[in-house]
Parts: sequence; C-alpha cells; structure tokens
Amino acid sequence: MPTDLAISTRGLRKTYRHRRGQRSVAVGGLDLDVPIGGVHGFLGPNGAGKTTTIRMLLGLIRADSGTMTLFGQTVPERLPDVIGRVGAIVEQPKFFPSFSGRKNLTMLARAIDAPTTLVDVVLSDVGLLDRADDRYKGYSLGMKQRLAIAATLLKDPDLLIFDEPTNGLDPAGIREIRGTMRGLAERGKTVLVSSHILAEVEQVADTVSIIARGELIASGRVADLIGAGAAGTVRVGIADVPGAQRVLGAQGWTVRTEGRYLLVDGGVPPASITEALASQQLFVDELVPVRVDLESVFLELTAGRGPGTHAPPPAGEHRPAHHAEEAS
Amino acid sequence: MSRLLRVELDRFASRTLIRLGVAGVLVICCLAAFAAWQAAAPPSQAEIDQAQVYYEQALADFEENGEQWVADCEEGEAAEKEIAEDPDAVDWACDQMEPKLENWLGGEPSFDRDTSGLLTSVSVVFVLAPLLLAGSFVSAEFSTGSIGNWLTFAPRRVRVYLSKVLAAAFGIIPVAAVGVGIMLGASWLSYRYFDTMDAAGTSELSSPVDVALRIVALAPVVAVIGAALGFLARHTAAVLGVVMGWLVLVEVILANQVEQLQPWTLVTNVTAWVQGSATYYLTECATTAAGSSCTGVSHVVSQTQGGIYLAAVAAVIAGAALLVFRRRDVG
Repeated sequence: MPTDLAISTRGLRKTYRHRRGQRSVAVGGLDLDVPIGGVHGFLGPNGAGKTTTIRMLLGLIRADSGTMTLFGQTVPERLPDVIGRVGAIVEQPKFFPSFSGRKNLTMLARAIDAPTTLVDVVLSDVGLLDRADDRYKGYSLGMKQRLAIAATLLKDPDLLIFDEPTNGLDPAGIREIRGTMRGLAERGKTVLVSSHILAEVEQVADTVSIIARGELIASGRVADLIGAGAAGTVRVGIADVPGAQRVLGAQGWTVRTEGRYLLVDGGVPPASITEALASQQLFVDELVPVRVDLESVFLELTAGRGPGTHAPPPAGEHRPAHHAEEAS
Repeated sequence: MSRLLRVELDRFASRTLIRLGVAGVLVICCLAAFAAWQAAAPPSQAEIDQAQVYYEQALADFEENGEQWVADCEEGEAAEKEIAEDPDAVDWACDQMEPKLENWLGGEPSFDRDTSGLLTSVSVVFVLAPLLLAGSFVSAEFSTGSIGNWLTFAPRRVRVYLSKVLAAAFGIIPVAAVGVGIMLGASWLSYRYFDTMDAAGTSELSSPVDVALRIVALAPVVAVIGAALGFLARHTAAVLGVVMGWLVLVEVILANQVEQLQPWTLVTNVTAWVQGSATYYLTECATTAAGSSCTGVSHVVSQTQGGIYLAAVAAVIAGAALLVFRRRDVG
C-alpha cells in the first residue's frame, strides 16, 4: 500500500491498571503522523507517553484501542511483514549481558537471516570493531548505544526509532548520536527520535510532534513551530522605559515591560523601533530580536496540561492540538 | 522457525549459567560412577573378618535369647492376625530371626539391581537441573530486558516461544544422555572389572538400560516445564521459588496431610516413570469386635500413569505460558 507516511496512528490509547484498581492513561487517543524521510522529533516530558507509543508500534505492548500503521501496514497484525524495515532502540539498549557484542549481533543476524559477515561491517560502522569480543556487560553506556545502533543497521531499515537515545551519554556521545541520526536521514532513511530534551532535538529534527499526557498538542516543521511561537518579539533596553513605552505605543504596536526592558511584539522590524525612538530623542542601549526556541514553544503549548507536563490543568480547560501548518 | 531454534540452541549452549549447571550435573554423575565402583567391589578380607566377628556375637546372643525372641514375635503376630481383615497377609517373618553372615556383608553385588537403584536415586538431579536451567534460560531474557530487543527482530511470538521452549528441551537431551551414560558405563565397567556382573541378587527394578533411557526421556519434558515457568515467572529467582514452594508445600506438607493426594504428586509420578512403578501407602482403619486397627495399605502407580501424568502437566503449563506470552506486554 503506497503511502507517504512512515508511521501513522489514530485514536491510539493505552491505559494501565494499578494494584488498587485505579487506571492511569499512558496514551489517550493519539493521532500521530511521521512522514517518510528526514528526522522527526517525538517530543514530550517524562511520562507523556512517548515510550508507550513506540512500544505499541513495535508490538511489545497492546493498545487498548485505536489504529497504527507502519509504511501503510496495519500493526500489530502485519508487523512481521514490515518489521524488517524498522530498526528500533527502545529506552536503554538491552542485549544478553554475558555475550560479546559480536555474539549478540551474530545471533540477531541469524534470527533475521542476514549474512553474518554483515556483523563486522556494522560494528565497524559504529566504531566498535576493536571491542567486538568484549562482553556486553563491560561496555560503557555509549558503547551500548552504538551496539544498539549497529544492531538496527543489520536490517538496513527504512525507519529507525530512537527512544531517548542520548540518556546518560556525555557531550561527545550526544554529538555522535546526533551525527548518526542526521547521516541516516541524509541516506534517505526516516528517523523517529523521542526525547524530552528539546534543544537537542531542535538541532537535528526536520519535523516534530509534541505530545503531553498522551495526546498530540502540536506537530509540523520545526521552523514553522518556532515561527508560530515567536511572532517576532524584540527586546528593547533603554534608560527611559515609560517614555519609550509611550512612543512605541503611539505607533500602534503591542508593547509590554519586562523588568527594565520593553518587549515589542508583532514582528515589528528593529529598524522601525530605533527610528521611532530616535525621532523623540530616545536612544536605545540594547535592541535584541528575541529568539524563540523549541523549548519555549513547548513550554507555552504544554503549560497547564497537568502531570506529564509542567503545571496542573485549569479546571475545564481543553486545548486542541496545534498544527504549525495552520498557525503559520 | 528452525532458524530461530538454531539460534536459541546456540544461546543455550553458550550461556555461562547453563555451562556451570551442566558441569555440576556431570560432576554428580562422576561421583555416582565412583559409588558404582565401590558397590561393584566384592568385600575385602578385612571386611569379611569384621563381619564374621559381628555375626558370631549376634549368633551367640541369639542362641542365648533367641527362643524368647521368636516366642514374643509369634505372640505379636498372632495378636495382629486376630484383628486383621486378612490374617493371611500378616507375616512378621518370625522364622527368619536367626542371624546370617550376609546381614553384615551387605549382600552380594548385582549390576542390574545396584545400577538401577543408583540411577533411580540420581534421577532427582535430572529433574531439578533441567527445570532450573531451562527456567533461567528463558527468565534471564525477561529480567535483562533483552526479550524486548529480540521481539523487535522476531515479532512472531508463537515462533519465539516455541523456539525457546524447544531449544531448552533439545539442549538438555545430550546433557542427560552423557550424564546417564557416564553412570551406566562406569557401573558396567566396574562390575566387569570385579567380575561381579552375574553375582546373586534379583532386582525388583527395571533393567538399568531401561531406567537410563527413561531418565533421558524425562529430562526434556521437565525442561519444557522449566522453560514455561520462565515465561510465566520472568525471573530465575521466581522460578526457583515456585519450584521449591511446590516441593515443600504440595509434595511434602500437603501430600502428608492429605494422603489421597499421593498418587497425584510429581514425586510419585516421576518415581513411577523412572523406576517402572511407585508404591505409596494409605492408612486404612477397620473396626472389628476386637477393636479398631489401622494399617498402611500399599498401592501402586504404574509407569504408564506416571508418563501420562508428566506429559499432561508439561502440556498444561506450556500451554498456559504460551497464552500468557502471546497476550502479556513486554517491558
């Protein structure tokens, strides 16, 4: 079935029952689309339902309701048909601890009928060839991550799913993983990377989906989301704050104060601001276009959405999913 | 499926714990082989001389008091016959109280009898070892989390399940065969060496070869149970807890409290399968004019019942584990 989506979910829901009979919603009716090609960030705070969603896509846990497809194939029913196109690292990589990296990969290669000669090739690709015969339990976290990436490469997959791939890595390791993801995307692969560290994803993702409390709250291109959130704010540092506020307000611009600064919203060109102030003999000390990053967009979108976000929800409030395409 | 099975057999053979367990089993078998060597040896002159001393002392004692002992014995026997439902079944063997030299020499060696007995007594190793090794083989994957990774490569759970259970079953067969072979072979060589192969003594047990073959057949069935328990319990310690808990609570405490359960315990049925039959006793009380009396009445569980029982237990546990593994979330 031809499709331009690597992943699609509709109304995906998963609840967990606790010992006292209470149920908690891990994923609550998620609609997620991941286009084929590029790096797609799957963002949300801890407990938002990212890992649960990935596990459902991979058939590790059962959804209560909803539908999922991978490359147009319904999963979990058709998962065996499509799993060869999907490589995944879910949370921490987990292999057989007493076996060497090579032994672990050889067993996986034999399980999927891949040539075992490929093992050394992928180990070399991730720079683990010289430690291939060491026991997995002796590997550092970074080496474990690299072994997991090597394992996914055994399938030469079209879709790679990385769940919090940089957890516990040092800066060099993080940079390495980021480079790997970008490299895979440039080779035409689709990469889904879930993370709660937004600055990290911003540097590598082409598109993102943001979820909170198991629901999609925004999706689209990173640039569009940031643009929609930014709306062109300029911060003005000036000695006479009240006077400058009057002058700029008189231009019909939206002006607010923040400490000893003025914030001018609405995408007003900085040159127009300096011109208006200078004409009244007011001269700026500082004029900075406020850079909006993914994190601030995320915090704005998730504010007040309760556990799994960053603040409790106001009673009765319900915010619809925000699509960058619509906002921009 | 066969591809997965080959990979699982490789993993079974490569696991450190399995290798240690197999080494432990083989060491026990070697110790049993040494015991067979000792049993095969005819008594030394020193042992014969010592036995002669004990025998003469006992004979002197019997000559002095034997008449009274026999009289007491016959009196007790007669009393029991009076209240017994079947007086002909009461036999205290009062006419065999006179000491004999062979009482202190332990009887003459017999390859058939001694080796069958040895294999039967060591068979518990071939029950516990497959159970725990197969259980740890599967449960370790859950406790380390590697099963989740594995399922992203091989998502068909029924095939994954069958490959692991069958690998545990097939993997344990050579271990059992080698272990039993060591004992059987060492015993045969010992009896040949001492030329005591055909010494007197009849065996109520099956021939040693039959016992050995049944042990080898039992090991994979128990391994299937162990692997299935691994899928259900998901942790080696939990598998161990289930096995030990069952043995203590059901096989020992409950079976002693409720005698009627004895034909349905694992121990009885395993014994019946290995030995050819198993005897258990139920207390049966009768009230007559002379009063009430209780006797232990023996019952026999046949080898066929033991075999069917073990196969059924394995099938039920394996089926339950498959259903659970198909449906349960993998963390």
